[in-house]
Amino acid sequence: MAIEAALGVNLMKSYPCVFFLRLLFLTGGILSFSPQAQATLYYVILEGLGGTATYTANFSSQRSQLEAAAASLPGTELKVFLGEEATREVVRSWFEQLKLKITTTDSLALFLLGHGSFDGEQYKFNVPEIDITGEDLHQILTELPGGPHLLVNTSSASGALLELFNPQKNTSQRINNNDTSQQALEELESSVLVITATRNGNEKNATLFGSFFTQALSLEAADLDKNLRVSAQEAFDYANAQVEAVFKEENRLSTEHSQLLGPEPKQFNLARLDEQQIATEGSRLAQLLSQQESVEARIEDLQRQRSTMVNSEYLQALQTLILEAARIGEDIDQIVIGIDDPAGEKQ
Amino acid sequence: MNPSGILHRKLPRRVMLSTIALAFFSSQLPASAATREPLYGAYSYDPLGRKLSTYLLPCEDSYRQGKHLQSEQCFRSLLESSHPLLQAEAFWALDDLQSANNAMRAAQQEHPDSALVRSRWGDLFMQTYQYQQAFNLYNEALTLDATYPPAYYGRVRSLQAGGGEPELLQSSLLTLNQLKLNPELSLHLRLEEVRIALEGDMYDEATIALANARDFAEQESLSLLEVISLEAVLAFMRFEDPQPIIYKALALNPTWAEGWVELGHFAEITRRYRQEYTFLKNAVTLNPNHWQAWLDLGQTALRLNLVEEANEAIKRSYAGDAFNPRTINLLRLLDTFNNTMVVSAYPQPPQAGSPELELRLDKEEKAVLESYVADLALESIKVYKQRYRLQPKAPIVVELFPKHEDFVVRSVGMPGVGILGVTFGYLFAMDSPSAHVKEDYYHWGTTLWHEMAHVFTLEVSEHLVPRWFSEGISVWEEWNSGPVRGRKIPLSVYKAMAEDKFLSVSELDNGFMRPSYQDQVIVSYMQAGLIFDFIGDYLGENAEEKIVTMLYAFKEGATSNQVLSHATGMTIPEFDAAFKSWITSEYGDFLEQLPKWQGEVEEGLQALKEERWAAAAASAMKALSIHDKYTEPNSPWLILARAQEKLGQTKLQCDSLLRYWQEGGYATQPLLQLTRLLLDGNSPEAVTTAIQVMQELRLADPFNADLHQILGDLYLEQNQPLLAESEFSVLLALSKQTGGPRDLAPIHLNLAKVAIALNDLTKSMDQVMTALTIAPSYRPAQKLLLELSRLQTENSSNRGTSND
Repeated sequence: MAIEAALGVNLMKSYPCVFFLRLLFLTGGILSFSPQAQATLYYVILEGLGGTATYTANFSSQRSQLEAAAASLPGTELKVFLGEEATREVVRSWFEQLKLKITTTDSLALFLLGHGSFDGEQYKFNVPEIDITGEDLHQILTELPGGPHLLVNTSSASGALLELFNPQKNTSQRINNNDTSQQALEELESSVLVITATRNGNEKNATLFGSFFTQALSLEAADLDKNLRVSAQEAFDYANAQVEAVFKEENRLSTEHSQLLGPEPKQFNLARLDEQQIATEGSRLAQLLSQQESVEARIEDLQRQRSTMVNSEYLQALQTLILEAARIGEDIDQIVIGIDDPAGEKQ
Repeated sequence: MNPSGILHRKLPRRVMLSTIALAFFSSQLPASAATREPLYGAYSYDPLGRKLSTYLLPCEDSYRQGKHLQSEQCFRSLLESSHPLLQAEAFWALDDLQSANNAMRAAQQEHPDSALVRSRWGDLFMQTYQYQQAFNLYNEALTLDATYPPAYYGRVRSLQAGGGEPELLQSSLLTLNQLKLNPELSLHLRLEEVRIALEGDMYDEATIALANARDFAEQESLSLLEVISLEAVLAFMRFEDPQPIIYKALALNPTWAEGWVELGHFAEITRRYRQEYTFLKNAVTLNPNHWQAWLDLGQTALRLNLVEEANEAIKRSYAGDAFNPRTINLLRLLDTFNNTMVVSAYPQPPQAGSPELELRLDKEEKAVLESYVADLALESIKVYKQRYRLQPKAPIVVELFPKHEDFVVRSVGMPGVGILGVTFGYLFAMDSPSAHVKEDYYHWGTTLWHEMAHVFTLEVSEHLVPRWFSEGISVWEEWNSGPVRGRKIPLSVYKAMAEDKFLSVSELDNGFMRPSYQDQVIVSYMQAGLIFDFIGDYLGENAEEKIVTMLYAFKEGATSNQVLSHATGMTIPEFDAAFKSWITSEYGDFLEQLPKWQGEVEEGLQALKEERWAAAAASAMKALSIHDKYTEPNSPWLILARAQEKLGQTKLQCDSLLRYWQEGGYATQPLLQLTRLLLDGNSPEAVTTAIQVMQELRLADPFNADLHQILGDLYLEQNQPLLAESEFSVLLALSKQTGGPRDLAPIHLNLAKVAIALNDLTKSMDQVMTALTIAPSYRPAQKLLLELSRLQTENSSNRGTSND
């Protein structure tokens, strides 16, 4: 008997969209499905000077996309600096206040949209009045409690920050998705996750990276692990690939090489792509969602241990967990279909 | 038609034996003797030169007589000279170019007013391919002596080699012709005229000019070596044996390799690469230090797929002449060959005998291209074997280069040439589709079909087919049997037709080899293709067979005029007139209205730009009412489809794109759009057409991920799992390319579905687990895993039951 027939389903047809829905459930107003559960993610956008109408519009568009991404994540507090108010003094002062407020379970994502420069010694981000320096950014982020925190700097010359945030290492020891060995991660555990549009301060052309990075935050195409969330790693990978493709297509030498430095970029979610569903506390659905979250956390743990496991054992363990997740997902789907379709027409 | 009526002398094969005979002469050559241009009497124009020539000329004469040991000793003695110019000449002759340059500088300081010194210094820079510096020195020499012929000659050469301003080159040539030249330079220039006549196939003119040059050389008691070499070339071009003539030169100078090099050049430009190879082997056997000959040999060996030998020859050339940019380009190319290209042989699995086809592809592209290229190449071989009655004697080698400049260097040694494919016999090289990522109008399948036709026309005619005939057949095959049927004629060609710019068929080769206006090469391609469509119509029944018979006549040495007259019964003027009349019948109405058609197209484009959709549609329809076969860039079908899209006329848009495709259009984005519209229609016929469109599109844009995704999905839906598997596998291969798909989990999920359709549970589990390893939360994959797991359990349980 053909497997297809044995399965009793037409596997060639697309699945009902209900499978793609993610659910949230209310627990006293706290959205418990947040990756930084019970914690606040401070989403801070600093839009620098555009200089020309085209750049200004471009940075503004990137900011809008970031604002939408922030809105998609529960437990997020958004702060935007732009225009004449985006001065060094105002920014530093706000972060001084944040230091008093932020808790050890909170984290922060700081996005710099604009032009940067590097004179061989010092990186500067162009804002009204006095520019914000690399040292300013280093001080702001390293003095904050909590974390890990994320800095995404899409400006020209932004790669100059890499040495500043990782002075003991040279840039060839960057930690990226392919090198997440436990030792390397432990060394960087307390440091800041840094994403830059360029590999050093000498790449001074206006960059393409920011547009693609912010675009990624609303794209399913960027969500490669299909968890309906876009992580810092996924947005970085998407933007990096798009930039490479543009230079290749135009047959030009690439003038920017984006970099990612720091711990667990896959775990730092910057946007979610699904619609929020509500589950009543104590309900069967809430229980299932809780179980699902637990299984997903175990899968993440397993993934971290992959390098220490024999491949066949890893795959077996993964398969067991995924089957568990799949069964829970099936139960959730049945309830959701019921919620979506009280008349039971879809049953 | 019987070709024996136009039988001509065949080229004797004794040439092949000459390498052995020449081994004797080479024993006289000292290892350090280098290749050196003759002085052409440069020292005869002023008192300083005449004084120094008494020391220099004996050394030079010994070299020209092949007494290289004696010559070397003579030059070594000049190293002790107190005159830096003599030292420079000696260092140069002994291949120490750096010391020669230093001595030239010293000579220039000692004789700041000498045009001779600066001119010879310029010659030294020419030898090291530094054309701008050479040009500057020739100009300085002319500032010192405005009528100094060697400096004018040097300037002409530097402008020719360095691609200088045509006006300056022309004026320098004119001035040179008006100067009083010494006999050596005068003879040399006369021989240049002979070369030009030979390259232009003007053998009668070449014969007269060569006889005059011989008389002049004899009157002036000059060396006859170059004269004899060109006499050998004339014989070769007339399909006579050049070897006895070359032996006359070797009697004067037993190490005279230049004769073989000269023959090699003419063999190359007439695409007789195997003979070129033999000639150049003779040259390097005679003079192992002839770096140019080694380089040419390397390039030709590469064309004959003798990669190892090419490698050795080019390295040998580099060891003696590290300045030649062509050598450096080819060395880099060989690195590409060795490091990034992989060869695969077909058919697969191998059958008895040698393979029919070998593909040389970039290893990064192999997984994407291999099956498409192999299928199309094997199909074309099958068609051509039957049509041209030829069983290839060796595997046909097809190379696809992802970098256009690599392909050009492989073909001609230097970059910067706008070609798409070149055939050398049993081997052809072409641009990979990835070399044209930004273009919507490179159809690699058509290029392959075109080049493969050359393989057969060259082999059938033993490489004696004229260029226009071979190109004409290739274009004719493109239009009549290729992957995209129908004539695809660019606008520039229609304009040339309207302006009556087509050449007489007897002059059509000039349109390819000596174009006199911007688009003449492409106009010539199209004219040649149209000529075969005309011949096909004219000859009627069995026309195809008769065309093949014409091709075979070239092997016997027949000329174009003889072949055409014999086949059609018309004289060449009659043929030209009949062809013109046929063109009028085919395109007369359109050509008359060409300005109006162009106006409507331009208006349509402008209207699109200004978002006046209805106006754009109206203009496009007017253009189509005049001529609806144009599918090249800015096709009115595409203007119309775009306007209809914007007007919300989806059904009409689909019809327009369908007509565009049916008329031979192959631009990727419009055809992908057509596919989507057809699939939206959801009728079985539309789905079948969509599949056909996409299958063809793979021969234009195989690196387009959307294409493989849609096609793979369709094959799955149509329960054609093997075809679907092929498309999804290509998608996976594309994911390794810059700009390729990065979302791999859905591809593996599709491959799992393919495996289910193929009843392969294990493979399906593997693929679904691969998808879930990448994306553990991927719900569709989770669901499939769950289903498969239940099925596995059920199967185990059933087995247990049946065992009981």
